[in-house]
Amino acid sequence: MLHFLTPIAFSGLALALPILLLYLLKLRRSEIPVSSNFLWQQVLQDAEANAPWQRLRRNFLLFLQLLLLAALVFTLARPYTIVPAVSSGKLALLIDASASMNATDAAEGTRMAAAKQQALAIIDTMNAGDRVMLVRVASLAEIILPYSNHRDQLRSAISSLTAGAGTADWQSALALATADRHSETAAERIVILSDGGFGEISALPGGQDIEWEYIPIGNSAENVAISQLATRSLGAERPQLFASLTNYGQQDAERILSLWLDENLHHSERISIAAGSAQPFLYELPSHEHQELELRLTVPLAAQTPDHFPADDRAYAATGNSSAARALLISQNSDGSDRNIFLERAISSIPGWEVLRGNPSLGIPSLITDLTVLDGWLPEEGLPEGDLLLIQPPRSTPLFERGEAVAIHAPLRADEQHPITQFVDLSNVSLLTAQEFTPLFDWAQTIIWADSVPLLLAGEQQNRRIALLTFDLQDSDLPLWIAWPILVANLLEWFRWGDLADAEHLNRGELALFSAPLAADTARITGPDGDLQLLPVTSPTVAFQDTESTGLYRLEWLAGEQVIRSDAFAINSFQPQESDIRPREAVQFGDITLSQSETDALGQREWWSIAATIALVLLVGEWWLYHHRNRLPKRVPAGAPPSLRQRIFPGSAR
Amino acid sequence: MSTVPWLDERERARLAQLSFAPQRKSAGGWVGDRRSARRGTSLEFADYRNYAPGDDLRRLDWNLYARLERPYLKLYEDEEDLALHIILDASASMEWPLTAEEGQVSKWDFARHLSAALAYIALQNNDQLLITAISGAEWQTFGPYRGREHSPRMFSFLSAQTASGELDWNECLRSYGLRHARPGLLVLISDLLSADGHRTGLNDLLALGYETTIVHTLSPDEMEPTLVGELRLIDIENGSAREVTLDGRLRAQYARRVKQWQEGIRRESHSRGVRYLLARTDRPWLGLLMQDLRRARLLK
Repeated sequence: MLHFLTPIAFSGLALALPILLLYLLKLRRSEIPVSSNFLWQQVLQDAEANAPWQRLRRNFLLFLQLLLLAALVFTLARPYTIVPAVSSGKLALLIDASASMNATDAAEGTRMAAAKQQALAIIDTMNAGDRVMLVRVASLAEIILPYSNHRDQLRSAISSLTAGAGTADWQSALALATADRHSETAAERIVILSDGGFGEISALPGGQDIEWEYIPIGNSAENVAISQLATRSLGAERPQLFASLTNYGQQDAERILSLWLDENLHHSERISIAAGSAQPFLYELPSHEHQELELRLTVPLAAQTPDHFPADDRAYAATGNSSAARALLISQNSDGSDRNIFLERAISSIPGWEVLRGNPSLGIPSLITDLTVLDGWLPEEGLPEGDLLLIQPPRSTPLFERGEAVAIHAPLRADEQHPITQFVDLSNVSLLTAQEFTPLFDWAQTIIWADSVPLLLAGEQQNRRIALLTFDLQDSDLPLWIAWPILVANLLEWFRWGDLADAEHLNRGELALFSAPLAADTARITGPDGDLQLLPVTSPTVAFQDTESTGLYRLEWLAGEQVIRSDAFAINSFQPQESDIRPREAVQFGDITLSQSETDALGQREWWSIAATIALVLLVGEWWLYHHRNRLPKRVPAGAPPSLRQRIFPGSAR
Repeated sequence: MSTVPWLDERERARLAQLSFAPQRKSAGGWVGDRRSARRGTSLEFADYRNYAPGDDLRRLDWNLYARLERPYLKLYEDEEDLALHIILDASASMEWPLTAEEGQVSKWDFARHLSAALAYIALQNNDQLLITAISGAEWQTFGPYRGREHSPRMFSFLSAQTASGELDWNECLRSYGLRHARPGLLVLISDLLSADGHRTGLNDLLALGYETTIVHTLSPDEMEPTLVGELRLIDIENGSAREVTLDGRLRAQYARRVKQWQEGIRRESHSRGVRYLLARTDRPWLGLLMQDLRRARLLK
């Protein structure tokens, strides 16, 4: 039913009376001379055109003017209908702009488009006094428009929203929306437009007086993602590629997986992944020579399941980076020998590593090395510079305190999340004794332990990495297990942190750190889209933060004009939280569940704009008709009508 | 008013080849180039008739009398001149359009051109010419004259005429017939926009023996008006006003009415042996003269 905000405007209809009167009383006619009225008279007798009612009936202009008046009055009366509405009072509109909002399962195109549509619908049903704040929740939560009741502003702000590439920071967004809740700016109602995926939010901020509503976006979970990609070289073997493909959908999916080496298609196969499961993909690469590696997932033409989120269908890796690293190994065993064959062999079998053996009696040589391994020995003058791998050091240092020897009976445990212990299976390893070491301050993390005795400590201190193995290798059968070379390889890779060893773990938007070669003065980075960036080398570590595009980057170290080293690294977008595009009908925050509520709030949809458009059309029509109908023949002199008769019949009275 | 050279050299040359072709033999007052209805004195034999007492004995056919012993009178064709009457409507409605646009001709100028051309032909052929311009109660007459030397004066006369006032054609035609003793070929050039019509006046003329031709002069916008809107139409003849809301429907109705009216005049004229010609002013007058008037056998 139609209501009116300003019904007083209907009094304007009274203007119709003067219009009618003016028409009835004085119909302004142009005086036109004709050669004779004799024939007109005969025609007009039939038509009776001069009868007042006839005059009105024929006067389309009058009709249009009355209609125009009606439309104007209608516009000014501001007609509206009552509709169910989301908005009432002060509303904060939180729009998810995380990467998953790029998913294409919505009828409007993307989920973002669907969310915008919903948001616009909310704006359309705003009541006159409602105010809406617009918050875009991407990896940063930002207020796009503070509380406003200006619909056009809100509409244009909503229309300009785009989904980002990262994960939404809901914590900040909720804090933003509920901040100052006792002040003027407090939201009375918070509406979340999202496809779910709120991460670790345990409770909703704000008090009881805030109404929450969650409007789910998206309707399909079908997505297969490359969720992991790594390359690894073990010994002299050919490098291996490891990838993990995850089907987040609810149906089994068929995909074509293709591997591109240096932009040439090298391998392609059709794979099938069960719903909700991950499938590993292992592949032996032909040689070390390839640098750039790309893995693509494509949907076969006849596939039953679509892929709604293409952003995670590509992954990149860089392999075969040059520059051998040098490890200085100084051992002093309990039997007096200065060689640790296990360690020496393990390190030298890792591609890209070169072992230099030192002598404990000669102390630390003045060599530049990437890693110093001190096995059962410490130099008198204290710990050397650079990265350190310490194996059962003989005494305490400023970093740690050496305790008593402890017999180990419990099985070994490892932090599986840590890169050092990835793929390291310690279940069969047995250990006789270990030395107790306590870090003197918080620099180390326990990676491997048994019965609360730390066996491997690792961490960073003053821009260097240090790992401490608290047992003698000879007291353990670890070197006999496959876990040993893997552990050493992981350790060495971990030590090459400033190098490009971490490249495969670089995610979009993360800071990339590189250690510069000694002679380099500039780092030149070419992005996947060909953008060049020059970074001056002012410290041993160069930070690169412009990692927004996924793909392969080329890093060249320059000394003057000369390229002294060239590497590649890859930026990927492994975001399981985003790849899992399953829409959530309801979301849980602690013990509160939010779902789309059947709201009983009512809003007003105003219709004045339609009435105004009609009025405008009528006005234009009336103007056109007026000019068209009064287009006089050119033979009539302009401006003549009032005096025409007098001109023709001088002296005649009007 | 300065004299308008109504005809240029080229037009005069073309008109000089034409002459009037009266359907009836007329009875002119002067001995002319045309055969007269009267039997006369020319050398061309026409007929015999019985002698009646009082006849001129010089005309008796003595040879016939010798053979038949009955007196017969020999009749000869009498050669007379033709009398051409041009009646020019000089009422105010002829001065239309009031301001002629480029390429447009007012009815008044059109009618005078036509009159000038007809009069020129008559003078060239040594016919008797009488032009009467009738405006209101005022009659301006030129003639009767014969002979081409009167052409310049005829042009001056036409130039001096103005259109004004209102006409009652019935009255005008009747008194015209009465005023002139010698009927002949009569050309009436008019728009015939008269509320009372012209029927009885025309009857009078016909009864007096005038061989009449009506050249009905109308302007295109009188036949198909382009006026639109809320108008007050003012008759330029009598100043009467009519209020009208003109739209396409009414315009079409008017155009139909004009057509009916003009068609009625044409039918009525033909039924009485009166030549009728519609002369739209958007047609060149020379074309009308060379084609329509010749086709109507007024000219040859």
